[in-house]
Amino acid sequence: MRVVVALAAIPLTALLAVTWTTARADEGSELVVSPETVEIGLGFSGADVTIGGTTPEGADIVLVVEGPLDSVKMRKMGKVMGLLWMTVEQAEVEDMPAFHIVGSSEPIESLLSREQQVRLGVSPESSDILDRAEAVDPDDGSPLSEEEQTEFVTALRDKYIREGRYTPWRCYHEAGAAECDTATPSGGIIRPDDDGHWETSISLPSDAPLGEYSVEAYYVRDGQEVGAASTTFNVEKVGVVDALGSMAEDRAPLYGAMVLAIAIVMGLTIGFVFPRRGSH
Amino acid sequence: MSSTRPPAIETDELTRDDQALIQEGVAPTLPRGLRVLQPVAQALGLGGVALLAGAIVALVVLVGAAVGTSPLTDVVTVAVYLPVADKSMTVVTVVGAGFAVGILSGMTGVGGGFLMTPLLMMIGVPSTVAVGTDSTQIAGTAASGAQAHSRLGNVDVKLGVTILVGSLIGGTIGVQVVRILSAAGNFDFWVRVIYVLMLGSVGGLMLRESVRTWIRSSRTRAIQTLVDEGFEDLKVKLVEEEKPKEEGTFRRFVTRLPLQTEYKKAGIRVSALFPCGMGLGIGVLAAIMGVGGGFIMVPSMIYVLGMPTHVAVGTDLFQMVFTSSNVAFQQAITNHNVDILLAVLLMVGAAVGAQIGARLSGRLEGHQLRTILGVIVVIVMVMLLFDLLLEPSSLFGVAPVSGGGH
Repeated sequence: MRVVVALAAIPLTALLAVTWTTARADEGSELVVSPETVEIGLGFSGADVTIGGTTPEGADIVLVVEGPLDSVKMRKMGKVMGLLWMTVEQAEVEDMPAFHIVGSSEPIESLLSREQQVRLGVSPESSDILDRAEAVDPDDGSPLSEEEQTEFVTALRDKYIREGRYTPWRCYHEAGAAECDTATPSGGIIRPDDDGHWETSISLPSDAPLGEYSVEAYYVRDGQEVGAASTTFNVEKVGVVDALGSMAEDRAPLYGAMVLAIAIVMGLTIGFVFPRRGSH
Repeated sequence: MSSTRPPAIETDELTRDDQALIQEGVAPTLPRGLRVLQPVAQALGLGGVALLAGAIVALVVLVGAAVGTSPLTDVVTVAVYLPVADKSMTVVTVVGAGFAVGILSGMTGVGGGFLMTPLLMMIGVPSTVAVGTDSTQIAGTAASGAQAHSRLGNVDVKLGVTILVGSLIGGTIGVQVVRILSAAGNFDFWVRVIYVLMLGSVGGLMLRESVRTWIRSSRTRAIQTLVDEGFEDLKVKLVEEEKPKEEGTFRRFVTRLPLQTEYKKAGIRVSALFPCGMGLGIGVLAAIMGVGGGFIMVPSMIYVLGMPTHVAVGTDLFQMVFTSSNVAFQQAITNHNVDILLAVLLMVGAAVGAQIGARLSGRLEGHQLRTILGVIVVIVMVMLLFDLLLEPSSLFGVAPVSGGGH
C-alpha cells in the first residue's frame, strides 16, 4: 500500500515541478550564478560572484542578495555614576542576515511602492530587515522592549554597512557608487542590454559569512511585479581551513591541546635555534 | 659646609654623557652623535643588531607596501585565511604584532596579553578570537622567554612552582567570585576602579624608586671617581650611601611564618606560604579582571619578596607558561575561539622577540629594567583610565567574550 502511494507520488511531484518551472520561466528567465560554491581555502581573500539573467520586455529589475541568518551578541556602553564608560546592557540580535545587498536598474523608489518595497525586502535603510530581526536578553532569551530592540538592531545594521556587508540601495542612486562601499563594483546599478540580458557581480569580503546565500530577482513594469526568479549559492570552507575549523568546534579538547603543544614546542625550538649570546 | 670639601668639583656638574662613560669605564667607540646608541648596541650584541636591522627593514617594506610603491608589495601582502577567525589576514602584519609584544614580554616578564588583545583587534581580528588566541601565543612566548632566561640563570623553578600552586587555586576561586558578585550589579565598575588605582600606585612607586636609584647610583659613581682621583675624604660619604636599609616590621612578620624555605636562585629565604598566597591573590585578580597577572606579579616579586629583578622576570615567565596554557585550553573548549594559524603566526614573531627581549633584559641593570616595567605599568593604567573616561566612538558594539588572564 505504501509503495503504491510512493510510486504515485513520483509522477505527481514531477508534474508539479514541471508546471512550476515553466510558470517561472514565463515570468522571467533563470538566474545564472557563478561560482555556485565559493570555496574558502588558505589563500581566500574575498571573491566575486557573478549573477546574470534576462529581463522581460520593457521591465526593470530589482536584485536582492541575502546571506544566512545569524545571531550576534551586542553590548551597549553607558555612563556609570556620571563618570565612567562601561557596558550597561547586552543583547543577542537574532534572525538578522549577515549579508544583504540590493541592486536595481532604476532607483527603487521610482519602481515600487512603499508597500511593495517592504514585501520584497528592499525598503530604504533595510528597515524591513530591522523589523524581522529580534533582540533578546542573552541570559534568558526574553525579548527586549520595542525601543531597545530598535536600538540594538539598527546599531548592528550600521556596523554591517561600515564593513561592506550591507548596502542600502539608496546609497548608489543618490550618492553615486564612489561614496558607497566596495561590495558591488558596478555600484549596484544594473544595466540590461537591448535584448534584456543583464549581468552584475558582488564582492564577498574576506570575512564573508559562511552558509547559503539567496539571490532573488524581481522584474517590474509600470509599478507591477511581472516576474521573479531566484537561486542560491554557497560559501563554504574547504581543505585545511575546513579541517581545522571543524576540529576547533567538534573536537575542542584535542584541538586545544594540539594548538598549545605547537605553540610551546615552537617557542622552545626558536629558543634553542637562537644564537646563545650576541656574538662578541 | 665642610671646609675640606673641594669647592670646584660638584657631582652635579658632571654631564650625563660623562657619567655614562664613567659607568662603562671605556673610551667612546662610537662618534659623539651616535653615542646614545651605544648601550643599545651593547645590549643587543651583533646578532641582535642584525635582527633589529631586519625588523627595521621589514617595517620600511611594510610602510612601502602601505603606500603601494614597494616592489616587494607582493611578498608583503601574502595573506592567509584563518580557519577559526573566519577572516583573511596579511602574514607580515600578524608576525610583526607578535614580534613587538614578544620583545616586551621577554624583557619585562609582562605577558603582553593586555597589549596583544587590543593590538589584534586593531589589525582586524574579531575580538572573541583575539581574546582566545592570545593566551595560546602567550604560553608559547613565555616558554621561549623562560627558556632564554633559564640559560641566563634567571629562573627559580622551586619558587615558580610555589607561586603556581597559589595562582591556579586563585584562578578557580576568582571565577566563582565573578559568578557571585556579578549578580550584585556595578561589580564590574568597582573592579575596574580598584584595578586602575592599584596599577597607578604600583607603577608610581616603581617609577619613584627607580628614579631615586638612578640618582643615587650616578652620585655614588661620581664620588667614587673623585675618590680615585685623590679626594680621599669623600670616602665617608661613599660608605654612607651604601648603608643597608633597616628591615621593616612586615618582613619580620613574614620570617615568623611556618614552612620557611630557601629559594636559592631568587636568593631569598621565606615561608612557602607567602609566595603561594601571593600567587593566590594574583590568580583571583587575574580571573576577575580577565587580564594580566604579570603587571602585578613581577613588581610583587621584586618589592614584596625582595628578589633580584632579573630572577623575578625569569620566574614569572616560567609560571606564566602554565597559567596561560590553562586559560588557553579553557577558551578552546568553552568558547571555540582559539585560531591555530593566527597563534602560529604570532608565535613566529613573538618567540624571536622574546629571545631578544630576554637578552636585552640581561644586559640592563636591575633598576633600568624596573624603570621600563614601571613605565609600562603606568601606560597600561593610563590606557585603562582613558578607556573608562572617554566617550566611546560608538555606544554599541559586538560584545567581547569573557576570559583571559595571563
